[in-house]
Parts: sequence; C-alpha cells; structure tokens
Amino acid sequence: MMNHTLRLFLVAGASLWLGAAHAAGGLQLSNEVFQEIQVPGADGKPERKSVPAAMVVPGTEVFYVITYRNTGDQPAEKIAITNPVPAELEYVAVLGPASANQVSVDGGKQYGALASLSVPDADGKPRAAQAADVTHVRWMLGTAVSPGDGGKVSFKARLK
Amino acid sequence: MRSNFLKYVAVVLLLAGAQQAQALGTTQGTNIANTATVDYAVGGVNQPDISSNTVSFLVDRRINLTVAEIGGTSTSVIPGSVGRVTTFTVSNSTNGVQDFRLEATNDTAGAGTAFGDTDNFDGANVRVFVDNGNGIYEPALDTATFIDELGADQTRTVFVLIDIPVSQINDDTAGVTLRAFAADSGTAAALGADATQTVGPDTPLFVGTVFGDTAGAPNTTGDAARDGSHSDDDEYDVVTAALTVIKSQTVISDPFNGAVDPKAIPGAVIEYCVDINNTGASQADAIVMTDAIPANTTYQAGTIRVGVAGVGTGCASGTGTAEDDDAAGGGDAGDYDVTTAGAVTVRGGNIAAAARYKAVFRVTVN
Repeated sequence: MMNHTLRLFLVAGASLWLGAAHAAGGLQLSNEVFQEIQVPGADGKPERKSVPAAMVVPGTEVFYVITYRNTGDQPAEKIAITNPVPAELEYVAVLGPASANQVSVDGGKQYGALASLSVPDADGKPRAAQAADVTHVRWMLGTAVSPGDGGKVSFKARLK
Repeated sequence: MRSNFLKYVAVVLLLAGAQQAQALGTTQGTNIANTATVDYAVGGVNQPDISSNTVSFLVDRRINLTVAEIGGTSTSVIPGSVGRVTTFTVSNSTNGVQDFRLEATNDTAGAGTAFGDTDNFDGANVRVFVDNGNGIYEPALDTATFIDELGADQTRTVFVLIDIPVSQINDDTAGVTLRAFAADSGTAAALGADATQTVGPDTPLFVGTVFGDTAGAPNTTGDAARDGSHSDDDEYDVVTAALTVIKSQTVISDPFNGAVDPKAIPGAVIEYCVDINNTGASQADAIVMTDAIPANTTYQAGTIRVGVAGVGTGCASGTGTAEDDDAAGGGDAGDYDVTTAGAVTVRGGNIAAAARYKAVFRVTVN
C-alpha cells in the first residue's frame, strides 16, 4: 500500500514538473489534489489507495500536495508557501511535519498556530478558532533549499 | 525526507478514514480550483512570488433521497370506497436538482404492514399523484405523476390512492409502498431517465454520480441501500360495521295454562325477540330488519315494540317503545304487512359500533 501511494506521488509529480515550465528560474511550485479510495487488494481485503481527486461529493476528504523545487543555481531562503483553502472546502488538518505550518482565519491577514487564533462569534465576541474557520494555510520553511532540492507540503480538506 | 513524509501522509489518511457528511453540501458541478503561491529570497534578496498551477476538480453528484409516510397512522376505509388516500413525502438530499419517478405498489399478502398489522388484501386502481404544494389531495389540481425538478433539500408531498373492494370486511388490512427513484433533471415538465451510478474511475472534470441512499422501510421489498431509490410503506385498515342477527322466542301464554308454564299449542301466543348486534368498528346506518311471519302462525296486531332492552341477545318483555302496525307518521319505526307483505319490518336507524338494537313482536299459533 505504501508503495502505491509513493509511486502515485512520484508519477503525478513528474508529469506536473513537465507542465510547469512557465515558472521562472528559481523556485517551481506545483499543486495536486488527491483523494483516498478503497479498492480490493491483492488478498481480497479492501485497501486504501490515493488517486487524483475525481469522485468528490459533499463530505469527501481530499488532500492537496504542493511540491516545491529549486530549479535555480542559488539556495532559496525564507521560503513561505501559501495556499488559500477553496471556499467550498473545509480545512481539516495539515499533513506531514506541521512545525513550520501556520494558518489564517481572517483571509490571510494574520497567521499563527490554530490554537492561538480566534474569530468573532455571532455576537462579535472572540471565540477560539476551529479548523473549519481556516481560510489560508502557510508553511514557513526554516532552512534554505539548495539548487536541485525540493520537497512537499500537504493539507487535507473536506468538501462542504 | 520524502519517503518519511509520504509515510506520515499515508498513516494520517488511514487513521482519518472517509467521513460521511449529512449536509447536502456543495452543488454538483461546482468547480473547485486551488492555487498555491511561494515567497522566497535568494542571497537575502526577496524574489517575486511564484504561483503554482491551478488544480481543479468538479463536485460530483451524490444522490440521496428519503421517502417517508406522513401522519404516523393508518388510513381507515370502508368497503367500496374509491380514491382513498395515504400521504408520503419525498425529500431530495442530493447536492443538486433531481426529478423523481414514483411507483406505488400493493404489499404482498401476509407481509407485515407499517402499523403492525398483516396485509390481507390489495387495493384496486393504485395511483400516485404529486401535491401542488398545500399538502391536501385535490383531484383537479394534484395530477402530476412524477416529481419535476426538485431542488436540493426540497420536499414534496405525494399521495397514493387506492379503491377498496366492496367485499372487504372489518379489520382487513392493505399495505401500500411508495418508492421513489432519482431521475435526471434538466428538462422542465418531463421526467428524466433514472439516474445511474458512474461505472469505473471518474475523472476530475466530469460530474460523476454516486448513490448515497439508504434501504427503505423494513416492510418494503426490493429497495436496497445505494440503489438510487428509497421507499416507505403505509396502511389501509377496513373499518366497517359487522352485524349479527339472533332471533329467539318465548311462549307467553296458551289457552289452557294462561301465563303459567305456557305451551306452544294452537292458540298460544309466541313472542319473537330479534337482536341486531354491531360487532364492527364503525356505525351501521339505516338498518332495516324484515322478518316474515312463520307459516301456521298469525301476527298479533299491535305487538311490535322497538328499542327493547334486555341482557345479551335476549329481550325484556314490555320494555322499549310500542309501535302501531302502519308505516305512517314521522318516526314510525315498525309496521306489519305494509313495507313487505306478510312480514314485520323494523327500521332500526343507526347502530353504533359495539352496540345492539332489539325489537319484539308476537304471533299466535294457528
């Protein structure tokens, strides 16, 4: 199963890099969206598999995988990847190492850890923000990315 | 680093599982587009933001519908009545507009019914009509036989009509089932084809279809979960009068013994007691009892009494109201040889459910 997921990521990633030729030298960014489906495994038991998001109905969870790669010849520093959560989706969680992750609940004005943010309630008083309030996700990479290197960040969201 | 990350992604996804949302949610066909941007610096100099490709998919159609019986009780009917109504609602929980094909059927004999009885007869002339919006069946207005272009989260009332065979008796039960099938929308005033699930892999920019409906009510048959249809059942109970008539006789007197231990010899006076018992669950209207005077006896004039009291099937002599023998006058409840030649006729009026009506008359033995 692990192999399926990995292979899929690699194949999809490769095709997108080809299509992202418009990006200038420096950093290249590609975005993909996947969903998990259940398929019969080789042993007949249901097996989960990640496929490009295609059959998505309300309640379905999808995950966006954003791939970055330094195609320039200098290290890229202070990398901040920002992704607005589409209005029809409800943010669920960041996938992968989340230490460098921040979210915004006010349309991208302020970022921080979800637990530290608040939103106005119906009476205008602040209440603790919840995952569903998230409007933007941002990753601040602490380390420089050398030429030729890259990585992925990902978050999961559910169709409203 | 990459493989560690992927491993983490996979584990998290496994734990999260697929979640079922009950809300109707985003309308089918909506395009969900997403673009990421990156801000970075090279050599301490901030660089222009870079945008990713825009990744998109179209929201697919999740068909869900609910058929529900309305009123929570069976419909009481009398034999021979026509166009008797049971009421249902059909709710569209699909994330989009749907037509609905409607199918009403008689339940199988012996099947359990919606309200705990057992089906033992079929309604005739089973029909389905869609309400015009006021929840009341109006034959002239509620003529649509399918639900046209019903929006997401919208509900429509549907009426099932049957005729009750005249031969049915009190406590008979007919179960009926209404099943609605999701059908494609798009053309007003026309029923689309039944919706079908998308077979095989979907593609991101195609609006596929999945069925999300549940199985129908326990008493319905053939309606499985995720088949694009839903059903519920309702019940008709025959509630009518059930009359039994018991006639008994008492020798009142004879020419020799008088009233002391009289014998049924020529010249003896016999009092007949007619007991009409309504064992049904409905009032019996306009009762008319006719009793021919037996051969070899002669009706004793002026002996009809109606509304007689008495224990069980018996009559207490001398109670009730005396009647003359003609049929004239308002409220005349009994006659002899007028309505029917050679017979006593008693018009008992209405007999309530579980009530009795008694009458007596006397004859002499020839």
